[in-house]
Amino acid sequence: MSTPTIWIFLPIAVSILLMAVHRLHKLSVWIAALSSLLFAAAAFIFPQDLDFSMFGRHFHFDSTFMILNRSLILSASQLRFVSLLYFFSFLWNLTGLQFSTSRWFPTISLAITALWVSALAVEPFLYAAAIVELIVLISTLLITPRGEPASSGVLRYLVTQTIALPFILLSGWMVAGIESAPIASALVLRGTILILIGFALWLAVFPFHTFLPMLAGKSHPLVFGFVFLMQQSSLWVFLLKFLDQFAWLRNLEGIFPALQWIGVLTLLAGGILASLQSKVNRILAYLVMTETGCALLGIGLIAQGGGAFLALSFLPRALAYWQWSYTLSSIQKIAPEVDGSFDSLRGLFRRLPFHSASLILSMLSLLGLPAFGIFPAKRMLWNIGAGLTLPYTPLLSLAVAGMSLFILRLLRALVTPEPNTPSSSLLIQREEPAWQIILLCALTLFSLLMGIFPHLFLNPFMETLGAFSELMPPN
Amino acid sequence: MSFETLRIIAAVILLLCAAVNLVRRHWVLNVAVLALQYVCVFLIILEVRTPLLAAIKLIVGLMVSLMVYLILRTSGLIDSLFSRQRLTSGEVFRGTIALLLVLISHLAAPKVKLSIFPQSSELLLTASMGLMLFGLFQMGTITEPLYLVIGMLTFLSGFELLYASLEFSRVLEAFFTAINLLLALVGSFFIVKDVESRAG
Repeated sequence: MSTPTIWIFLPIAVSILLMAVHRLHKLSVWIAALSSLLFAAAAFIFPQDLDFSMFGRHFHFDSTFMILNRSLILSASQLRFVSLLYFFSFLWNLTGLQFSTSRWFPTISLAITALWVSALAVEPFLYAAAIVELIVLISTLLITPRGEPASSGVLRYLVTQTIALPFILLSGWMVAGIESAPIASALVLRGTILILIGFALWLAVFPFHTFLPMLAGKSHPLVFGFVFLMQQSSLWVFLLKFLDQFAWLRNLEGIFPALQWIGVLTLLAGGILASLQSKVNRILAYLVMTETGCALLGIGLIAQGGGAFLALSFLPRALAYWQWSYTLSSIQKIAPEVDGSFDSLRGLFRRLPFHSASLILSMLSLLGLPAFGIFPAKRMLWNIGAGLTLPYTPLLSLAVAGMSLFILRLLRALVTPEPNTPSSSLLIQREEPAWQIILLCALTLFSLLMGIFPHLFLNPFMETLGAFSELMPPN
Repeated sequence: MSFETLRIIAAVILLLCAAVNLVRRHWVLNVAVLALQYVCVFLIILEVRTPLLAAIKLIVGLMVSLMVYLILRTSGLIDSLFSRQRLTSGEVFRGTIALLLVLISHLAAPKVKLSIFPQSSELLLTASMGLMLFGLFQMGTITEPLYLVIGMLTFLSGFELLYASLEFSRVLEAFFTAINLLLALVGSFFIVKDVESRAG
């Protein structure tokens, strides 16, 4: 038995099984959620030497699985990240019961998770580009809204991601055996440009982000949140793999400052564009953008401790996305007349106070407000970034100000009723089930606990990026 | 007729097929031309692949074309092949662009071979660059699902042709096969949704 068999082939087998029972929605959701939880827990507690004894028997697991002369390698150091991916799948599947996303969501979400794990495990790792293309193609089946034609956002997403494939694959071929070449040779520069363009397209960095708000505006918030959380988290790790394995790339002068600038500009664009938004559905796209900007800035600052930012932020970011997507989906279920525009949200605080508060709090959490889960990571990033180069400070501040402005506008819309509303309806009307109130409060409380006691909740994830020993040498 | 002459003819027909797909908006013609395009890719790729391996691309390509054809047929979207003859101004514009793209790929191939891909033949480079350019142009200018999928398949065919001359890996071949089939599936899904929303 090997680790790729457990975390790649077994989930794919479960996913195929789920295809057979996809009409039994509840059953397939439960199977997908519980198997994801099982895979996540197994990856989290798996021994580092891949050896363990149970019931008096000794088990040893190989980290390598050979297929057509190529290998899938899933080492113990990668398992922490694998556990996070399956945990995300668990979270999103768990909410699938409540909302009518798609009958195929459990099947496809599990397959997508397994494919992302395989993308991180395949050797030569450049072949992961083809796996990413497969994931994108499968994802389009999910993010295309039900009962509507494929929107231009979906088509643009498909095109953008497909164009990235040749860039990544050609970069690998072009720089094969380049270690002996001089560091500034034309070949190195060519390879670097191909890699950067490929990742820019994949990660939808500014100005290749145009499909993101279009998609977010049309897709189900939960589906959009899941697809892009998985995509961005895995691609950041994949970018780290490039930097870790290609010595010529990480030793190239200017590569890390270039990543920092790309990150800052994407963050800035996300913040400013968010401040101008008047559709709450589309805001998740800008959140994805700003988080990508932060992550690229973190990768650019890897030598100064940016890796810790990435490792500490995976879980709180996912929880904040989940809270935002869940709350928005729930609002649209309870109040179908809410179409996402600020006008339709007017006075919603009186009808759905806990949902309204949850929307605001999840955004504040992502913004890095003190005491929330992502704060320790964001504080680290702001400190390193602002302390390193002077021009970053005003740009980062502007990005945060843009996002804050949106939050204030949203808050105003939520608490301000329509001008002609009768005074009797200005009283709080309770339309929220008690269990949802408890869930939303528990989510916020958990985020606060993560922020207040990061050593308890986040430190176990510091080892998430331990596989990149060249890029982040162990102390 | 020598094999080299056959390959040159195949390359010319290949670019002509891509040009027809870019210029004409006639679904049954587009699907037929797409299938012919894959036959030409098969003949050109024989330069760097054994007939057995090259046949995989041919079979996959024909399957993809058949899949798209069947979905168009079951959706009731197939017109007669000879139903419309007159050229529109848009088609004339795209035809001019097609000529330009053929010219660019023909003129750029020797330089690209010299500076980037020395192991690939000029003919293969012309064909692959031509397909990629046609695919890119189609993807960038059209939002109708069928043409977008044809554009993506054309773009990927061009890239596969180029990559075949650089490296061989069974795993990658398997991935490309899966991508092509899945793309056809996604395209069919989009076409069906389009039809359903129009009917609804």
